[in-house]
Amino acid sequence: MSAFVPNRAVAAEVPFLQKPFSRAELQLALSSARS
Amino acid sequence: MDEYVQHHHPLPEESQRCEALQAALDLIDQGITLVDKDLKLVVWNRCFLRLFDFPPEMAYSGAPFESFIRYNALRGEYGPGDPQQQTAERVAMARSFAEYELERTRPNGTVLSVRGMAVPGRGLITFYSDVTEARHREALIREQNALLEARVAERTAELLQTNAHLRQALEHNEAIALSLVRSEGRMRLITDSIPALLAYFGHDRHYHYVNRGYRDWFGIDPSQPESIKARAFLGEDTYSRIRPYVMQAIRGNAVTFEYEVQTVHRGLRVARTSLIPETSPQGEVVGCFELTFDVTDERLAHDRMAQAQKMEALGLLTGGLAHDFNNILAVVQGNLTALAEIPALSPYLNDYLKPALDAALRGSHLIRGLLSFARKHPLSSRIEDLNLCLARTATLLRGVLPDSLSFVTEPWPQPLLVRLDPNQLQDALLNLALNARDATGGKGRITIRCSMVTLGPEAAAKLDLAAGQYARISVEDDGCGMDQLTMDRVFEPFFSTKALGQGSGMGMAMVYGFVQQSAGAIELRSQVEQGTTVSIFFPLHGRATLPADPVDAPPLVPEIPSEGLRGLALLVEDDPGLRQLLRRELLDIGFSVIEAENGAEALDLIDHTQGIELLLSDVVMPGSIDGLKVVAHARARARSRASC
Repeated sequence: MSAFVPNRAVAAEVPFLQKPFSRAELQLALSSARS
Repeated sequence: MDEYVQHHHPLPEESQRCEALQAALDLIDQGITLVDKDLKLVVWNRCFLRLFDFPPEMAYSGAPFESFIRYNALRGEYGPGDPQQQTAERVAMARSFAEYELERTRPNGTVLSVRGMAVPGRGLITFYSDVTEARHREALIREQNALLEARVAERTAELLQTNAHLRQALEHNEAIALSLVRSEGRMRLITDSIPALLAYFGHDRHYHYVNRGYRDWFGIDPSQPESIKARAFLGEDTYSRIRPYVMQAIRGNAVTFEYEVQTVHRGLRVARTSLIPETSPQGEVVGCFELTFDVTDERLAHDRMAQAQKMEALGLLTGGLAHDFNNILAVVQGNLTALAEIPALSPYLNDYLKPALDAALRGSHLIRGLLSFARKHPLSSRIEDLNLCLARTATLLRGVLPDSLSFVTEPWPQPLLVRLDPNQLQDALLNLALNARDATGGKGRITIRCSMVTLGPEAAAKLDLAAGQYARISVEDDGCGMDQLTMDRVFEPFFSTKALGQGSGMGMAMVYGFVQQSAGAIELRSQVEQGTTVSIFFPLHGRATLPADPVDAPPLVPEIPSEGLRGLALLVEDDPGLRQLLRRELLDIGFSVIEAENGAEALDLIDHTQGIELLLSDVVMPGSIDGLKVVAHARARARSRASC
C-alpha cells in the first residue's frame, strides 16, 4: 500500500507498505514520509 | 639355218661354228638383227621374224633391211600415213647408225622394244624384245597404283574429315569440361557459403563430396572426400548413436535427427541432420544427400524461451494466489494484532493469540517471497552505487557466515550506478550468500565481486538483454555445484535441494523476481563438485554521480504531525475485511477516514473532496486503475493546487 499526503505544498509520501502491516508499521511509515 | 644365213665358202669348222651360233641365236627370246653398212641383213634370228610376223622368206643374208621396213609400212605397222615416206624416214634414221631405243605398239597390240646400236666397222645391230607382258603388268601396276592412290586419297579425305569431326568434338568436349569446371566451382562456392554442412555419400557409405563446413567443424580437407570416414570424425559414441538413422536412409527413407557432436574448432554443438536418399531409375538407393545445420543457438533459445514461459506461468499463478492470500492474512493478522492490543486481555487468551499471530507472520513472509518472485512486490527503486550495496551486505554477512569460511568481497574501482531497490538487493545477496554457505558446507570460499561489463549482441541475447554496458555483481563459491536438472528448476518457487524444513524454496525465486523487476538478468554457472557462480546484471545508469532528484533523495524530515487529530484520510482498498481493519488503524491514530473500494472511486473522491491529508491505497486492485495511478493522480492534483 502507498500512503500519500496530497494537499500540501510539497507532497509527503511514505514508502510502500507491505501488507499485512501492523499499526506500528503504519505509524512508522507515516513518520518517515518524504516530500 | 641354211635358209637364213648365206655362207661364202664356208669351211667345215667355220660352218659348224656358224650353225652353233645360229642355233644359239634362235634360242634367245629376243629378236636380233645385224645389218651391214649398206643396210643389208647379215644376222637375224627366228625370234625377230616371229615378233614381226615376217614371212621367213624375207630373211636371207644380204636382204635389204629396207624391205622389212616397207613391209611393215605397207601393212600399217607405223600407223596412218604414206608408206613410202614412212619407209624413207626410217631408212634414213638407220643409215645414220646412231644409237637409238624406242618402243612401239603393233596393230595387234604387241609392244616391242627396239634398241639399235652401231657395231663399229660392221654395221648396226638391233635387238627386239616383246615387252607386251611387262608393259601390261606395268600398266596394271600403274592402274592399281592409281586405284590405290585414289583409295588412299579417298580414305585420307575420310580420315581428315573424321579428324576434323573429332577435333570439333574434342573442342566441344573441352568447352563442356571447362564449363563443368566453372559450374562446379560456382556450385562449390555456393555450397561453401551456405551456413550448413553439405555432403553426399554412396550406398557403400563412402563420401563423394563434402563442403567447407566439414573443415570448419572437423578440420577435414573437402578436396579429398574419399578419405573421410564418418566414424573417425564423429567419434565412436556419436557415430553409434546416429548409425540407425544412416541405415534407415540407406534403405530409402528420408530421416531428420538431432544430436550433440564435439567439433574441432567450435566446441560441443547441437546438429540437426537430414539424410535424403537418392534412388536410381530402377528404384535402388545409390547414395544419400546429407544436410546438417548447427541448431545450438536455436536449441538454447528454445530452452530459454521454455524456461521463461514456465517462470512467467508460475509467476502469474503464484502472484494471483499470493495477492488474494495476502489480503486474507492481512485481515487475520490485523484483527489478531488489534485483539492482542486490548488492555487487560486475559493471559489465557494470549496463549492462543501469540501462536496464531506468529503463524500469520510466517505466512506473510512466505507471501512476501511469492510476491517478489511474481514481480508484484512494490519496489522503492533509486540510484545506488552497487559497491556501497555490496559493502552494506558484506557487513551483515560477516556476522552470519562461519569463521571457517573464507569470505571475500571485490568492489569495482569506480562507482557502479544502478537503479534498484537496495533493500531487495540486500535480500537477494543474503539469499545467494547463504545458499553458497550451504553449498560449501561452511568450509570453502565465497567471493562477491562487483564489475562493469560490456555485453555484445550475442552475449546480451543469451541473457535476454539489450547490448550495452551493465553492472554485474557475482556471488561465487567453490561448493558442491548443481547438476543441469537442478539448474533448470532452481528459480521455481518452493523448489529446494535442502532437507525438508531447512529451506522454503523461495530464496532463489525472490532473487529471480527482483532481478526481473529491476530490468536486469541472472546468469547461472555451475558444475557439480566445482562450484557455482550466480551473476546479476543491472543496466548501468548513465550519470556518473548520485542524482539530487527528490524522488531518489533520502527521506526528509517528517512533515506529518505524529500526535493529535491528523485530518482526513482517503483509504482505497478493495478487500472489505482489510478496509475495515485499516480504517480502524487510521481512526486509532487520529485520522478521519473516507473510503473507496477501487481506483475509479478514489479518483472521484480526490477530485471532489477538499482537505484530504492522507491517501492510503492498495496497489493491486480490480479494474483498470491501480493504486499507482491513484497516487499519480493525487500527486498531479496536489501540484496543480500548489501552483494556483
